[in-house]
Amino acid sequence: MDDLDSWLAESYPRAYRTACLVLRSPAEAEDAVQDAFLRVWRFRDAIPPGDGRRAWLYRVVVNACLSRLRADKVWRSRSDDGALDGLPSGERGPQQDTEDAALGRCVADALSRLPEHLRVPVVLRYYSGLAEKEIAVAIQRRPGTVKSRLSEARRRLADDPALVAWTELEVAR
Amino acid sequence: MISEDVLERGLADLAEQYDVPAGAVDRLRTTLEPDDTEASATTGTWRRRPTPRGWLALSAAAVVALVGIAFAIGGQGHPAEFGAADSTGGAGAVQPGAPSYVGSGAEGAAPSGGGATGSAGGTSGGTVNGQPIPAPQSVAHGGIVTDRNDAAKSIVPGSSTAPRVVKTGHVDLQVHKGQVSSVLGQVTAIADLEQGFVADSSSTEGGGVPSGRATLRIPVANFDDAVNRVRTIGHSPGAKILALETSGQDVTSQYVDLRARIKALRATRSQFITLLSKARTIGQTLAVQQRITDVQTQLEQLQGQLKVLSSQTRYSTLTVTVDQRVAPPVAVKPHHQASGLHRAFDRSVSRFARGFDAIVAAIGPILLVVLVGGALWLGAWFGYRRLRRSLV
Repeated sequence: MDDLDSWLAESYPRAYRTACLVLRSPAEAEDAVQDAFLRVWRFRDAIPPGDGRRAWLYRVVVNACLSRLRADKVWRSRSDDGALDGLPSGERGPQQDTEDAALGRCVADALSRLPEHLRVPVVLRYYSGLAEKEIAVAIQRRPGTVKSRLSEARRRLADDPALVAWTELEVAR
Repeated sequence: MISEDVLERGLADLAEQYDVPAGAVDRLRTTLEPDDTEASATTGTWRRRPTPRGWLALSAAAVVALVGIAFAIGGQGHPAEFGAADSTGGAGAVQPGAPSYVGSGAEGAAPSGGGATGSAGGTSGGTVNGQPIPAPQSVAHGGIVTDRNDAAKSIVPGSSTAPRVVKTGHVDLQVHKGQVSSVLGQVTAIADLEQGFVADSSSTEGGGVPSGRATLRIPVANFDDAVNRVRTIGHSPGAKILALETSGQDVTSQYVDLRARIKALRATRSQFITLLSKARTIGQTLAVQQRITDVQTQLEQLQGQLKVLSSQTRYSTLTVTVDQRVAPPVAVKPHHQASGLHRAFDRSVSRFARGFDAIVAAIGPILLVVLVGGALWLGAWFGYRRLRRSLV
């Protein structure tokens, strides 16, 4: 039991930020992750042993996020309001306006334009660090589907104006 | 294609901008504490959501409850279907539409020979000036009349009524050519000889093979004599009896039962009429009149049945058909025999049509199976997905 408790505590920050990237709303993300962790606790007997439990945890988190997206129309309202409304402000002061911060804003901008079914695999793969098989478990799709979605997402991100501009800036430097 | 490294860096930077809420883990631990102590009985409702098996059990319980409620509200249906011997109106209030049952339900339940009563209840159909409106009496099969207000009266079959038997007979006669009309005349004359009458007769001559048919109504006591006379005609030269059937059915109990029911209904009607004279309000008058109408309707139905039964038991029915003997047909050899090639072609066309019919006929069931299977598969698939989502 203590092992599960500590594991959840360790997993919380990354799961929370994953939810933030999916939902783009810290408040919604906190609620979603709390709901997900409560479910994990409730169904702790169903947690697969070994390495599978990380994918299982993210599956619960992703489901909680998607439920909120669908129920509350968060994604729709976010899309209407603007791409960056839900993100943390990029105005962090001149000293913080570093190169990475600019990249972060560009990625946020591009990410906001990705549809949900592509955004979630991208976040799980490139932020949460899940393998394709783990993502397949998390989003309940076949690994081949995950691979094709990731490929499609990278193709769209490469064509995204924000990331194209960032790349041109990088080349100019 | 954007490099994975750029994506990882960008997402990491973006995620770092989201600060983990202070004390979120502690709050989560606090939330989990009640469950940690396994105090499941005091936890929130979300912990008590039934499992799929629980939903199934709840659904089954709901169905059983609904069926039970339906039976409770609807009662046990029509007394005639369940053998109930009585019906009651609403206590304390006049219910013009309240059904009244006489006899029919009790007939099947009560043993023949008497001893059973058809009434079990004590409620009345309403009140008029403080006097209860009697519900129509029930009459049990076998001669026991149960009256709500009077003492039971016994009508024992056979004690006051002669046996009642319905007799019927059917004779098929075959005669030589030209004898149909004469034999038919002899048959119809039997009705006069036996003090009966010809209820129906018909004859066909010319064109095809002549034939005739006569239905005689003969007094039951003379039925056997009439059958013997027809038999004599059948044994005469040029005639032949192809079939002779007679049957008799004792309907004494039915007859007595009908009479008892009629008697009981008449008594009920008299009581209602007495009550009608005491009614003081329009509502009471209408209620009693409705009861009288119901009783009168039942009374007329039973009287009609009794009339038919009386007629059947007074006059037996003897049906005689007379046909002319027909020469066996001569086989005619067909003039034209189809050639082998023609027959083969016809057979081929016929088999093609039959095969086409079979294919078209098979498409329907296959399509149905595919549709049902597809619907089931879709339902199972969506259900499985929902189940999986609900579990995690």
